[in-house]
Amino acid sequence: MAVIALPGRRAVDIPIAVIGLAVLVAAAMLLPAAYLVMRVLGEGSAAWDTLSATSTTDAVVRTSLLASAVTGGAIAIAVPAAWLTVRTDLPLRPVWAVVLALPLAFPSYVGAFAFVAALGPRGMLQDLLSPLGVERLPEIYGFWGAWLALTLFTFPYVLLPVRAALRGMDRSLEEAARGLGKGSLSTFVRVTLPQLRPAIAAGGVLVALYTLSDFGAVSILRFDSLTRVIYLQYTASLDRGAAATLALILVAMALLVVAVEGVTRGKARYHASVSHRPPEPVALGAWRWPAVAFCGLVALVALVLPASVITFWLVRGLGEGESLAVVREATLNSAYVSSLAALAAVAAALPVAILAVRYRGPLSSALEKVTYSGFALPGIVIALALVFFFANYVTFLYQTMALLVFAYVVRFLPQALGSTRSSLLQVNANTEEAARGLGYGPARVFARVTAPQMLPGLSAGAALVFLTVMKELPATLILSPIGFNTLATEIWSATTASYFARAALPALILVAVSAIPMMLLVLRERRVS
Amino acid sequence: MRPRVAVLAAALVLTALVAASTACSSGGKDSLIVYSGRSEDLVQPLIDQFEEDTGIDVQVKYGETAEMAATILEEGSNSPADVYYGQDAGALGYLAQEGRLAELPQGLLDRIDSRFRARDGRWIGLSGRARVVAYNVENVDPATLPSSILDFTDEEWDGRIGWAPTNGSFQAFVTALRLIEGEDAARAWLEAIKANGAKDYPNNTAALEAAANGEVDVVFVNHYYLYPALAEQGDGFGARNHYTGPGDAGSLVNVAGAGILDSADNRENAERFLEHMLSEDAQQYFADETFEYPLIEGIETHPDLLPLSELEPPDIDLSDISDLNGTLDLLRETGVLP
Amino acid sequence: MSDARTDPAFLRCQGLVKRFARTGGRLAGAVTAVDGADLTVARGRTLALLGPSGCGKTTLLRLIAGFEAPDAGVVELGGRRLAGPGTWLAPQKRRVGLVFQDYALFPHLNVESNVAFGLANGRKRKQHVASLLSLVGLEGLGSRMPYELSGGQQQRVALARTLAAEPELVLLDEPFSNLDPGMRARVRAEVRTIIESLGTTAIFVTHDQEEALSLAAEVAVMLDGKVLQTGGPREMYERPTDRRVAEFLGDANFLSGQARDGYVECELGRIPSPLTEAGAVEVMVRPENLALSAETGEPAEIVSVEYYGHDQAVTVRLSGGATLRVRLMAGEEFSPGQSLGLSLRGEAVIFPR
Repeated sequence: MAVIALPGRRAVDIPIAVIGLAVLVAAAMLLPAAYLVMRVLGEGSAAWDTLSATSTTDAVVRTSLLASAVTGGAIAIAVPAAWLTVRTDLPLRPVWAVVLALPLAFPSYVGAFAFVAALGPRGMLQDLLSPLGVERLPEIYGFWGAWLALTLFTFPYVLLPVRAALRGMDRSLEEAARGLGKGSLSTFVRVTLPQLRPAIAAGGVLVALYTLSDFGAVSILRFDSLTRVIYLQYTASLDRGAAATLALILVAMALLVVAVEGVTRGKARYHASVSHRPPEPVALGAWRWPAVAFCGLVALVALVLPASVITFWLVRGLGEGESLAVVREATLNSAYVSSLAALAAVAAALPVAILAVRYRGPLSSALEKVTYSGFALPGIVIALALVFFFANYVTFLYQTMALLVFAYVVRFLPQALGSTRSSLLQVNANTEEAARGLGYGPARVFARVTAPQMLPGLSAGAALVFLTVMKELPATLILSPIGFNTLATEIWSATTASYFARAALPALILVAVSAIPMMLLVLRERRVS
Repeated sequence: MRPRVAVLAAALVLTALVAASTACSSGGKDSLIVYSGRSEDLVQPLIDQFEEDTGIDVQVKYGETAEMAATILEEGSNSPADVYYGQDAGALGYLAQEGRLAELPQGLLDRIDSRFRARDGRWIGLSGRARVVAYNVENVDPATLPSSILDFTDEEWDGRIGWAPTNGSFQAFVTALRLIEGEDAARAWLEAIKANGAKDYPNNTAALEAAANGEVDVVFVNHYYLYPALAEQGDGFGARNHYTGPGDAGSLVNVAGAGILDSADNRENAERFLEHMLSEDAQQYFADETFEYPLIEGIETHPDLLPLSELEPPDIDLSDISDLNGTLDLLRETGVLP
Repeated sequence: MSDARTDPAFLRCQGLVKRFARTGGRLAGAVTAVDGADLTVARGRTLALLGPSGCGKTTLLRLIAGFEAPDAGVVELGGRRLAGPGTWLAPQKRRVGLVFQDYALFPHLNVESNVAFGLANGRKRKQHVASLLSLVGLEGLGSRMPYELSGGQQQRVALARTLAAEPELVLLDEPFSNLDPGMRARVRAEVRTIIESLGTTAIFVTHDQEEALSLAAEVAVMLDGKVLQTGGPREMYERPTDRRVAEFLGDANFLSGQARDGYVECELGRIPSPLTEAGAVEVMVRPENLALSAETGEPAEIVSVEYYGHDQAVTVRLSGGATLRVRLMAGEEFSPGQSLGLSLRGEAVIFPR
């Protein structure tokens, strides 16, 4: 009994407060772009030279290819993994659900490094295989290495929303299709998949934008994407104008990706009907073990492998008499600032999502799209933009915790926005009106009816932001109050000095702490069903 | 219940933010703010010592050398920083050129060889690092290694070389190459090494790892990355350093150095800090703990290192290689950098 | 103001207009969903608002509930103005309860909390909920979650939740359309009984004419954004004031005729008419008001026969060419081609052209 709600129709009382907040959030999200435009204008015709250089065009093409390929790969892993962990009798389902979400916890600069250490031409795997006469493994550098690493470390961006969508989806639709004589596969492709499209698109955008913004993996795996070129402008020549020109291309690419998503998303206005029954698992039968093998392989490469490499570094260092530095303070700092940022990001995402879902229109959709503009930018660009604005115009907030949290929100809001938005889509607008009819004002309706129903989506968004803030480095280094160390800065500090063992412990703690919200999310799911 | 929880959470966030914001107010009279492109592991013990000796409260912001410089440029005259401490002469030179560094007292400058400080006196080297060729011990007999960096263009090195072309020290070396051998020779060298299939690594650490595990046989890096690796991984670590011959561009000695900002609020403390970094204790620390070359007279180099006197670096003034623009153009033209 | 108990215009909608802007594509432009609708309901009465889908009835309901603001016109309830030029009362202040087609139960709350939602906190709250649950026949199901209920049970929870807030007016939007046909009649009767027993003023929206005629004390037919006629079910069926109302409420035969003084001349012969003016008219005859016999009537040929068991529908052609449907008891057998006499045995309705 799925019912199509028409939430776009309500013209009455768009709360001014919601519009005001959403505009404020969007304005904040535009700060980096504004800074870039300012720098580019300062460049004059040099900006045009940078733009029209063939090296720039090549980098744009390479970057687009990488982003497309990573997005495709992430979807190809995440959709089956989501289906297996939600809808089937896969053995140890909840364990897989947590394990497959965890690769997101690896900072790409750590993950890619561990990747090279393990799978490089003369890496640990070659070491294991050398008794068999394997002298060298094929190169993992370049496009395919970057593709593999980024795919494996970002597919959870798709996995999480698709899992949520599968859980919220009305099973009777699938049953109806089965009743019409469609087989399992055909049902999945023709009924389930189209229903999942908005979730896949929402996750795919995050993967694509993350790939555009990533510097760690592409630099270690030697792929000259646009971020690497931008970074080079900063590090080698401190040429902020050229860097800004290139970064502005990333903003344009981000908006393009978001526009494509808008088209893919279609006019989906859905909510799960109240008669939704908790799903009964599909029996995998003989496919049980291939399914386990699939999940196992993904977990092995994306999680066990990097974790083992890091553990190896740690053990090797201890064996040589390295002492472990205490990282308690950094752990607490990381958890603290990540929690603040997660709450702040969800709070900032709410007005934008409410406007976009409940009051559709050109303004609300423009506001929503604008919030994505920063996510494709490497952290250093956002950090420097905020340095410029805050050191010069809002000095009392400069180098404060508030600014650091603000920077995280600017960088990672889209991660919270996607799940906030889709969880709101799943709330039947009629329940809100029913509550109005029962004497509740808009604010109380939101608190008592809308927010509780959105809670799973809000927590998923918060968990995602938490996870990425835990590993965020450039903005943390540049914008944090002096003396504020996090696990990510500890790792960075140790690796720049070539101390792998010292980096290993904070890295393992980082992954472990990031796992906590993921586990809570999955446990919560289990309680509900 | 839930809305109350939400309100509570929001209130909590606000108080936390406000509390955190007011907690760190930047320094009073007895304070100093340093932006450091060198990592905490290496630098903090020296800072602690300085604080103990002087009672000055030092706050250090750690980051990448270039990022910290870019941050200072964006901050403009509002920069809270008093001292900028960078990994290489390039970033220091750029800040000086942008007018962000103040002239240092002559007494301070005179403590080190003029090759290792700015000609206009706006920055000063604090410790030296030599360019080396790190080689894989299994695949390479050190006796067969060339005594000039120029000889790696030979085809016997085809597919065996790694480098980190985005690294500031590497770029400084290329500048030195241009100055010593001339523009055309430098270009030819870059092209030939590239034709030899040199592999790009993101930084010296990764390059050294690659040499150690035999992914490549030789890498062009700074000398001191080897020592933490030996400490952590033991003598079984698969790479060692080779110094090219006297006067060779491949033996360039670069510096990590510092300057005082033109906008510094605590100039006096900043000068005391630089004096401290050039004190015998601090220089001894660089020699013993970070395996770098001390820059003042009378400090023993670490026994594992080739002393500067034997190394005989090329006679180049670091002020001349802080201008990187020509080098970057060359690196881009030859396709070494994108 | 008239006595509150018998207030004949307890709910008064006058000249309501609602336009929607459509964005995008070929459909861009404004669509007028409600186009000058008038509607009154007396206190304590139930009214069925009937119309085909897209006629604007749900929008009219939402205008009354306050989920849409009218572009023109007024809404008044018990003498209070809810909406009108310069007046706007927020939905939560209107004391109008809306039961949604999909019930819109709060999925995160159990039955009891759903029902208690509109109740003020107080000591009697629990008792009140229990009595409401027993009123709708759901005793003992208070701790169930909505998804654990059947459609009919959800429907009754939705009703109990609305009634708990003691609204002055209850609006039910297609309340039975999501139920199985077998269950529909029973739930319909139960809901009607509950609402009437409480003396609540209620509007049911439906597109099912049989439901409309059997459900409420009054029926209003809405078409193209306007309310065409309001009245008791029998009056509406037997004496529609508009050809479209006649067509929408049950089967209807139309013949053209010529009015003279006191009667109308048509293919069925002379029919008495209240019209005094002469001119072209249209005559509407319900199929059950026609009779076939061998002896009397206008000569007619049988075209086809549909047999339903309890009755049958016979289509005949008159000599003038008009085709009419006749509804007869199942007893007599007819066959196509047969010639018989057709006569009027009840009332005909005359619409001036």
